[in-house]
Amino acid sequence: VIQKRTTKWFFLFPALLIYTVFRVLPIFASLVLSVFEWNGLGDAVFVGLRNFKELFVDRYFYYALRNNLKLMVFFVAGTVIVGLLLAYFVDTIGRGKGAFRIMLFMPVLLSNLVTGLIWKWALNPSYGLLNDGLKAIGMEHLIQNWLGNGDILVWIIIIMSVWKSYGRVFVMILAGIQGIPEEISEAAYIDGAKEWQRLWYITIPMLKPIMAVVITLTLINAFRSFDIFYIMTNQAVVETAYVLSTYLYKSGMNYMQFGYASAIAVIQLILVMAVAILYFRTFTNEKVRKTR
Amino acid sequence: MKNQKIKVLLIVTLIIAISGTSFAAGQGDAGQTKKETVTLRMASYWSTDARAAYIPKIIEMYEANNPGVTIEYTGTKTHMDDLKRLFAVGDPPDIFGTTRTFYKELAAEGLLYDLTDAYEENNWLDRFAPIVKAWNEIDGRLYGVSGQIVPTVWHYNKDMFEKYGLDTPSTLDELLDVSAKLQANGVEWVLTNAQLVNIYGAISCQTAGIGPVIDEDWTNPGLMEAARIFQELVDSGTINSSITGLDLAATFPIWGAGEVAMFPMHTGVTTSLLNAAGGSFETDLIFPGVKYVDDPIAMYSVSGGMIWAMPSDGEYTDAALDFFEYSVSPDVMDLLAAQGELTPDIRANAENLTDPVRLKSARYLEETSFDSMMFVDFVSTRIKDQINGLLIQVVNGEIKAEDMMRQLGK
Repeated sequence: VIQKRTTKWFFLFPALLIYTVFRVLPIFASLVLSVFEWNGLGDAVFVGLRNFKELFVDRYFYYALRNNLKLMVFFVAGTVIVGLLLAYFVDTIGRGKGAFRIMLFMPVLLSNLVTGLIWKWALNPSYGLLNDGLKAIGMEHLIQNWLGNGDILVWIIIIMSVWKSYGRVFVMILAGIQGIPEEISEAAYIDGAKEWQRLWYITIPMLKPIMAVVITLTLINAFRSFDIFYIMTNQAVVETAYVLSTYLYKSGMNYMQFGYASAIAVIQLILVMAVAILYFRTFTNEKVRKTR
Repeated sequence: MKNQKIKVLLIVTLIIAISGTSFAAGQGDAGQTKKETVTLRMASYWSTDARAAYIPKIIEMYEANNPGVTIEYTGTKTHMDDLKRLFAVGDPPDIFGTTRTFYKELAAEGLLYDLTDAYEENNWLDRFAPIVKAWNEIDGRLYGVSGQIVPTVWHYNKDMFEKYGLDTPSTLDELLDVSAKLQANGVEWVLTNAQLVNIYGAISCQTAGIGPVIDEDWTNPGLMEAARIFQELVDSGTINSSITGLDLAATFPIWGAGEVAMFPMHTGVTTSLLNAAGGSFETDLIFPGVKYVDDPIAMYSVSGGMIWAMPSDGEYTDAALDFFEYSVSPDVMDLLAAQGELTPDIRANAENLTDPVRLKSARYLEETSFDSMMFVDFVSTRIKDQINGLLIQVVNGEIKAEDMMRQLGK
């Protein structure tokens, strides 16, 4: 038994080492750094909870938090609804299922950098496709500077993120739908249930475990969202379009306020953990109920 | 038994791998000593394919005369972030370009090599324009050399002005008048405003100078007046929300399409603007810019641009200093001037400028005092970003310029 245990730890050691060095230690380092003031050049000075106090009166932090909450609600809802409806649609069509599956999954394959550049180009107020299109169909009154107003930009990025991510959700939900026994749906059909009733009363309830995973993962992604916001907003300096991760990056890498940036990271960690705990509790309770 | 064998095998593999790595590392060290060459790392935010196309040429010339020295140059858009990271881990490049803001922070921490003696030995102050001293001096010491002189100039679309029969504006009233006429002719974008902080900075040069602003006194009457003028430009549609907040690079094609009338920006972008227009219309400069107030404190804003500096504890300080001195020698300055740069010793080499637009800047600068700098180059990056963000909100009509000053005061 002892030998088996030793071998097990021997094989686990490299993975644990990497995980500890690159995941666990940075978290502790951030926690420690959050109570210091450090510009990355000189000595770090202990400031207690001052960084957190400053954070709570910092309007840019609230802009970031507000945008993360927007993202949490609308990105998650948008991704799940679009993914679910498309999965349901693809499942019901007879021919061309494979082609649709590939086509709808395509945006996921694009890198965020490429996606950002394509959208930036399309949204340029002067030579962008969107404004040109609006002009072409006589809707000049809708023409906007899509990239220059932080509030508009956040909505644009949410739409972009939904477009970029629904494919992953679509594939997961489609797999879930295909796992639902056909007899149940057929029985409902014979009983006279309409299409939407079958979706609402059969498909969605039976997808609950998958939906829980999908929603949680999307929620966590919403909190960690960085690259698309960074690409779309960094150079133009649109502070009202900050999210926690871009504000964290700006505070650390641009403003050299590593303690302050760490305080933002700690708040972000607490929020992500809250979501994860909520998920595990809900999911575990569900399992316990089922086993009873 | 089988498990035992696997364990022994894994331990032996691990030992071989570790000793192999150490051996290779040892060989590497030995190899470097044997060659006795010095490799200097040099970095800036200019990529070699754009503004700094001449840097490889200088390096090549230097290496040809100094066979023991190799220079590895990196120019990236993310340079400033990279540089901060490298300083944070104690591994900065041997020679690097930096913004004035970060230069000040580095100097405060004692992380820059003091070039004051090199200035004296090489008579740089005699050769260079006064702005170089003003821009690089911190508490009486000089830690860097400006890569170029960068005045704020007013580029304008000459063809567009001729088409509508307009004279170039020289006062605020004339600017507002020209703006109204252009807008009446369907020209939506009178000024580009990629970096609003520069426009506000240039106005405040005239209303406040730079002295009091460095103390970040946001109730300074000169700054308040600059805010009022900025608001007037917004209200008149001269600064337009339709193109506010775009990346600088995204505004070049807009200029190139002939859609913008004027582009007040430093000479660092002149080449990009000329390239964007591609000869489809003529670009000219308005000198000495627009007089926003009757009696400006400083009419003209000039910056010392990117600063070249060295770390105080570099590994190859002597070699780096040698290259540094070479890179600002008259021969190299002549080469840069021929490429279109307004170099620190602009008076001496303006003759080499071939591009007419830049030559015009150089000629003007020869007769101008260089003591006027924009305060935005002296405040922290955070404050600078905040000002820019608030100015964007002013242009978008979300707040008034006076609210901006109140918010900055907080």
